[in-house]
Amino acid sequence: MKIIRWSFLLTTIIIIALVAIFNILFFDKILKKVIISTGQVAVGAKVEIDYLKTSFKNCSVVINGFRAADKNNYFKNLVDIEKARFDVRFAPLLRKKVVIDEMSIDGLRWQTDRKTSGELPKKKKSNQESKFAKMFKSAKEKTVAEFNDLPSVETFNKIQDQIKNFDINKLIEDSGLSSIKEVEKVSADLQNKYKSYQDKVNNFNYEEKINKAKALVDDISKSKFGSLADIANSAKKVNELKTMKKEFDDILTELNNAKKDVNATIDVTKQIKNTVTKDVNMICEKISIPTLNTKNISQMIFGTKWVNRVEKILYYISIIKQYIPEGSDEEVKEVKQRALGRDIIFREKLYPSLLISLMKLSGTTAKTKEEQGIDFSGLIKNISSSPSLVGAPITLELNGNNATQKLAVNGLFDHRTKDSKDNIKVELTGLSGTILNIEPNDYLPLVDTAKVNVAGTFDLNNSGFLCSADIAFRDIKEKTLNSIEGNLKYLAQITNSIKSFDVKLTAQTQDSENLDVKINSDIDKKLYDAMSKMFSAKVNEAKDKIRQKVNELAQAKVKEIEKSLQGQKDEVLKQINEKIGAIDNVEKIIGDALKKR
Amino acid sequence: MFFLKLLKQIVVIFQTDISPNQVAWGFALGAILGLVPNMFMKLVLFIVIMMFRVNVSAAFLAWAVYEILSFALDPLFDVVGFYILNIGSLNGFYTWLYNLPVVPFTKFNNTVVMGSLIVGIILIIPNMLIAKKLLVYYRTHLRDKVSKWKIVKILSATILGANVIKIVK
Repeated sequence: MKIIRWSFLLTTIIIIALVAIFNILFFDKILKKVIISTGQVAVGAKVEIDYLKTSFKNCSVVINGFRAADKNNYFKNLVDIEKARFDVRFAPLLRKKVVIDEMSIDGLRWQTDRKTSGELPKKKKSNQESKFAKMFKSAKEKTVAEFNDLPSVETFNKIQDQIKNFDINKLIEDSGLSSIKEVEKVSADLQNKYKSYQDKVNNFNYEEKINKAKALVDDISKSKFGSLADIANSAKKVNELKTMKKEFDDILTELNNAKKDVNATIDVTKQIKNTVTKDVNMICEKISIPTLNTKNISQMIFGTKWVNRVEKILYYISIIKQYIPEGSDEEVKEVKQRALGRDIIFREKLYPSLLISLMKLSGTTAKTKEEQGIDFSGLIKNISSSPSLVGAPITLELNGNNATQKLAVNGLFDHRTKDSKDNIKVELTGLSGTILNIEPNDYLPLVDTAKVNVAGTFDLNNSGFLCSADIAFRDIKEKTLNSIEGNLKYLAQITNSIKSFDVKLTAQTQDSENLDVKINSDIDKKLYDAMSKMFSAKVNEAKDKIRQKVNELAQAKVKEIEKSLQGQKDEVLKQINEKIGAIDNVEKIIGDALKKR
Repeated sequence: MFFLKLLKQIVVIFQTDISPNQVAWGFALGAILGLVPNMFMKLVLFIVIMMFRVNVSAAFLAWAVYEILSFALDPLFDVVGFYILNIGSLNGFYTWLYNLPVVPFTKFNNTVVMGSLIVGIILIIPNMLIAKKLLVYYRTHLRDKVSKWKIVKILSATILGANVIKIVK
């Protein structure tokens, strides 16, 4: 008897062969589509693969030309990989587990340019934001608003306007000099005074009194003493004359005082001296340096940029957290009760859904092949969807250097328990200042020309995160002053005096509401000192000019006033002198008459 | 229709001269198919049955019979399976099997699956011998009597008719 049923066996073999052929022909295409669609979901932008080849012989996958677009800039690639190769273990695949012992990635670059947009067709926006992304969004809005409201922004604008529009004449004109007003006031007062003296002298009826006195003197000299009544009458007239003399004495005193007063008050310059000083001080106050709160400058320059960078780091971390969830503290049950029997669990070599034990990375920081960047290489260990199963955290170690630059990145993503911890340390030395994308600013030295050293750390745990960076700017080149015109040259001189400065940035959350961002830099003090020095010299120079100009203006006005007052003054004095002369004459006659008697 | 076909096949087994050995082995292997609850294990056993030149109808008959019986025997399988799976000296072997690529799909670590498989394997020879003896006995002593039953006549006629149609075609 033939034992084997050959027809069935052959049919089975044919079916298996057909399945294998189908896989060989179409599996690569299917896998490519799966990787692209999964990648697009993860990064939120287009993912492209130039070439993908699988081999069933050793379960290897080769991917060439992998590019994932940046969702924040669709014409840049978030990641650009020239070649990736990895071998997948077959046995775990049958249990829906992807286990890769070693993966190599060559030609890794980021932020490379794209020829086409990496934007995905519009879809309904997902509301699934990570815990930290939600928290950070509100905190960021609050903090950026605070930065924009910083007094330094306004103060800097004031300084800039002041330097740009500095014009002594205009400044004096806009100030409305009180010394000029004072001169006019003094002039008016004097005019009134002269007029009042004139009125007084003119209204004084002295001629009548003089004639009366002269008549009395004449009468007394002609009188005869024939009887007692004549003597008594004569004595009465003498007394009357004495009274008149006393009146003339009083008038004379009054006229002398007036004369003295008129002579004295013409010194207007002396009178307005204090007002001129006040005017000079008032104008100088307007050109003094506004009070700057140190730290404000660096907050204004680096604040928003720093917050945006922290947000970017959080975005990448949230992707990692999304695909590498925290471990659970639940114990694994050894025996599971079922309706139909019990499952006896043997010691199993458990695999997570995805495990890449070792990933070898190599790439460059250059965005194009022509650009000179830092060639780096390194390892990522224990990438897995279940770190608790692997029993080891994900570690990252990248190192690279060229003739002048150095890069070192160390990362630890420990998701083995519920209290996950993520830590990244980055050290970059000898970088060009252009890497920080700081927009040119009149108040900043040429940071693009600086050699920059960056040391940053990022710590994230369940309660919050702490992100810090120390940035050192060195060997900053000077601005070419020839190309700068006007008063901005002063600012350029100030910034040229700064050859290096340091910035320390921190951002941390203590609770879900508050983002505490601290930015400290010695550029605040350096700028302030340089600005004060430069400004003080310029301010003193300007003050002298202002003092001189105000004095000139006041003196011109004084001279004009004095000229117009002099005539009036002379006229008043003439009238007073005439009166004094006439009264003196009468008093002499009266004196002589009284002596004779 | 399926049950009718199955019934016809059973009649063929009993009423024709198909080799008793083929029928007996088919029945013995089909019994395991009925006893084991796991679908993957059933599939593997089915392929094995199909690869060997045994009577498939007999296997289906045994599958149906023992599938019903297994509901009652599950507690027994549970006890047997638990005992077998807890033999200390075999622990290494089970662990090795447990970590093999495809084997865990058979759920061999389940007490009922293991119990039913072991019972089924133990019952292969007895089942085969009993089935063969019963078939031979039937064909010798009962076939003629049964062939006179109306139902059998109808089914036989249907089978004959179908065969004639096949030959004519």
